[in-house]
Amino acid sequence: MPPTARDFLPLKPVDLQLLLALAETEQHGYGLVHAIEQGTDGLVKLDPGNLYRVIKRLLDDGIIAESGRRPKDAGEERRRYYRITPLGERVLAAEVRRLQALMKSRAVRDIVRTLIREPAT
Amino acid sequence: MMRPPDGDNNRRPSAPRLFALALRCFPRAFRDQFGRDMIEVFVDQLAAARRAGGVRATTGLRLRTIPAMVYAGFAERRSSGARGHVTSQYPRGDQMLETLTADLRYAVRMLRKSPVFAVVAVLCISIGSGAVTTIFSAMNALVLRPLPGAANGAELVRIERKRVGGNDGVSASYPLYELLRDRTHTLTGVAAWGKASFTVRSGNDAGVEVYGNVVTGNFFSLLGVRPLAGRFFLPEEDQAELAHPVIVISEHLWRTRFNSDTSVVGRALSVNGHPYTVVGIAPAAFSGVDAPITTDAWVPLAMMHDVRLNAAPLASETAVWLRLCGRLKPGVPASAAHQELAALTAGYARESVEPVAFHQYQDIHLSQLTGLPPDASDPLAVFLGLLLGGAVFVLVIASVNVASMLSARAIARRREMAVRAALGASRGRLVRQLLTEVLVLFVLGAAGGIGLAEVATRAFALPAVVISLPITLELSPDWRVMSFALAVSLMTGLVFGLAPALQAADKDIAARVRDGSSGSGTRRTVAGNVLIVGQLALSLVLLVAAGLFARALDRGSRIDPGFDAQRVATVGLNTESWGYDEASARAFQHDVRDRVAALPGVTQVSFADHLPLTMRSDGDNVQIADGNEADATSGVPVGILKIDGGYFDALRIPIAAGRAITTADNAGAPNVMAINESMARKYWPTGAIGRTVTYHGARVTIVGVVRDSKNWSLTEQDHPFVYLPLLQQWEGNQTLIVRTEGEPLAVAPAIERVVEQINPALPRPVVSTLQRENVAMLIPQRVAALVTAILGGVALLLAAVGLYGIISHSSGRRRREIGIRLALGARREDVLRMILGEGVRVTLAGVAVGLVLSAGATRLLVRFLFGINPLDGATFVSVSAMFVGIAALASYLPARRAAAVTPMQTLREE
Repeated sequence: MPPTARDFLPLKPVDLQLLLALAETEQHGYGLVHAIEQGTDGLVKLDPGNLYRVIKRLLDDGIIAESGRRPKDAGEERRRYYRITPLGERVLAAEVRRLQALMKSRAVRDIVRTLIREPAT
Repeated sequence: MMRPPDGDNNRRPSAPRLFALALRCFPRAFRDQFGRDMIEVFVDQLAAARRAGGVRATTGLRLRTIPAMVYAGFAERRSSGARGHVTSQYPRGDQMLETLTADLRYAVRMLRKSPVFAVVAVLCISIGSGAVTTIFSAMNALVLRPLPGAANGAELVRIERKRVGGNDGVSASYPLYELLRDRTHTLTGVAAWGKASFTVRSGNDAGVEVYGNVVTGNFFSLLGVRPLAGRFFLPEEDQAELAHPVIVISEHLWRTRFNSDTSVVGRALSVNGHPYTVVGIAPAAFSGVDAPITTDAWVPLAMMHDVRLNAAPLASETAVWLRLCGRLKPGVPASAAHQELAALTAGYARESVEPVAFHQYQDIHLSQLTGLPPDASDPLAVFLGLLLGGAVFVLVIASVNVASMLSARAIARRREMAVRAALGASRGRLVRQLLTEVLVLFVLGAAGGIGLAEVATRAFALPAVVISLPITLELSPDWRVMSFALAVSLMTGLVFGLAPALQAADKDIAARVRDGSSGSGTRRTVAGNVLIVGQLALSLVLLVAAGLFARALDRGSRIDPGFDAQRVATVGLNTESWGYDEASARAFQHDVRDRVAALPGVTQVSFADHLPLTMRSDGDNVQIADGNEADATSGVPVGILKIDGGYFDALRIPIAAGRAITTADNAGAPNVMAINESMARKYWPTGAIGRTVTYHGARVTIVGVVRDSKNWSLTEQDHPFVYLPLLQQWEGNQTLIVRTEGEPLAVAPAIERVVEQINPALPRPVVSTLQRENVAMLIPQRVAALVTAILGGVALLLAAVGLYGIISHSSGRRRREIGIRLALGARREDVLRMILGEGVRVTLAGVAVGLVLSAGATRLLVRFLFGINPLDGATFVSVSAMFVGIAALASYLPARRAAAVTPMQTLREE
């Protein structure tokens, strides 16, 4: 039986950021590091080793795939670009829905009101 | 979302090496798939970091990334293994790392299973490795290590002027320094320094006398020393003479005299009676360039006449007193610098007006600036090299013991090996596993050795002798020593571990698992015996050397130096460093002389500019008109001591002819000198009294001839020596010499009071004894006797243990035979004799080989033996006898046990 999107939930934060970046546009490794750093407000700075461990896992799971794309002007350019697969898109969508539901839950609303808004004022 | 910045495509640096290394932590398959991409990402990150924050940012990135990579690599290894990605299709490099980890883990497990074996083996190796490491530490600290506290010490060279073909270095004059400094193209610069003595006083305190240097303005910057606080000298502070009274003090002085108070920078001090300002503090690591003496203060060369009142003008070509060092330009070999400097020096020698005697000094001796001058460090290197050889003997002996233990263990582990072989382990794999175990032992041993060396060097550094100089010996191991210890241990581990490993992994042994006795027993016993003979021979060599050094020490302490050092108190009185000019110093000296002579218990008082046999000497040339032409023009070299009246009486040097130097031989009287008998015999066999020589252009009449005495070393040949009256040849720094009726130090408080009465502001004088000051002469013999005795003792112990082991082993294997012999009517004495005979045979062979080796080895020690024959019969015989006794004991114990066997016991065991 092929895996369904739900099998991969919940996504790890890094996976989520990576998929979000790829949903936007195809990316190479460094682009992903950059995107993840931006997406987590500088919280997650991936080293190449851990980045490719994540990439390898997502590739193995079929959530992302290598894209055939190569930049036109770069003669020496060998770096690989990655894209999100249809399965990946479903996983991402499912994760985003899960997070939306979470945000709407009563508990989160209470937390937001008591812990985040009030001290700020 | 914004587009990510592209990597810097124009100048793409290659993958940093550390990163590439960290990559190897990943499984091979992972590396193959993503390795190149990971490098690309890292290179892009580096480029971005460089744009954002320069070197600090890239360094931060590296520091963050490399450990993360290593961690990720191993994490990937674990998870890929768990996911069933078998890596066996990649047999090389990668698997190696995994095997190594597995081997290490297994080795540690196996060693923990037999803790006694492990501890004994590690202890053995620690002792051997500790011996080697200790001596190497000393060698490293004294001879090899570049100047501590300096940057890129390997580029620093000591520049000494020397004779062509000779190896006696001399100091340089200031004009020569200027010439080399201005003309050199091979060095980035030349700095110079001279010795000085400073009395440093803060406020109204008693002041402290310290050893110091006057240095050129570029001294610290050339050495690359960074100030702990404040600054070092500015170029202009070394330009105009006497214009900038500034001083740099050592961390040691700062700590001990100023309680580590940083506000001392900028404070005014009195230095030799003149006001100076402290501008900086040197770091703790830098204790000057006159090791082993600690330098505590530095002032600019331009201030020299402030602190050394009697010094010749800087421009003088005849005053040779500066020591020089330089820094090689990057990429310039020392040989090129030598060539250039030698050519410059030769030109200087031809053109300058310096004394003729210096004209032959046209060459340069370049050596690494290690702190110790070459004339001290070269013999020291030889000496320590010999001791290091002895220590290597101990390491070899210890390793042999470990090898035989491993060998015995190999037999015990036959079943384990057989099982592992049956499960598919190849021989190579087994050998590697066993070798890993051995190497773990040796690495632990190396660690133990370093610890031992740490303790031993600290014990050595404790004041071995009290000399009136601030000597520090910093011998403790540094990274160089540690890597040396590790390398030596690994090498010995490989050499001595390979054979037992091969033996244990021998497949044939597996076939013999069921066989109770080992087929190759005889062969192994023979091999074991050969090793024991070697061990015994090596330890005999060490003990013979120890015996010879002990005899040399004895002989050295009996050598008649030609003077009587007993009951002589000595006090350094450094009037120059107290700011006394000649007139006031003469008055002071006169005063001290009269008052000390009046003290009870004092029989004679005199002064000299230095003491005999205290590592100091002075020499010059005198022109002798009565001899040949060369003696009359360029002069003859003589040793010189400047003395006051009463000197010969105080040291009990007999007068052979004429009269002694007296206090009446003062500046107003005709110039006179006394000479030693060697000089009188050589130049005036018919009588020297009344003859004249020329010294520094003045005619001096010989009024006395005294018996020869040793001045520089106990072994020196008697040579021409001249005694000049201090009152005619003034010297600012003098030593008071006091002969006493009883214990010389008993008069110390009275002498201190005398000095205090004359001038309460002076630092308290240090009263010592001539005997104590002379002790230093025997240091090499003392150290050598002690070290070789320790090494020899340890070696003998290790060898005895080895002998004991092999005899018990062989008698243990012969239990059955012994039981049968006894059952057939053999007496116990016969059995005892049989087993003992084996031990004695091995011992005698060891002694024979050892004696031959000793005869060859002790030849190297000749120069430290004070004329003791290196083949000294008494030493060889007594050491051998002791040796045989101990070896006999080591084999008697197992022999007695073997003979105690009853036939019934052995039969029951069968």
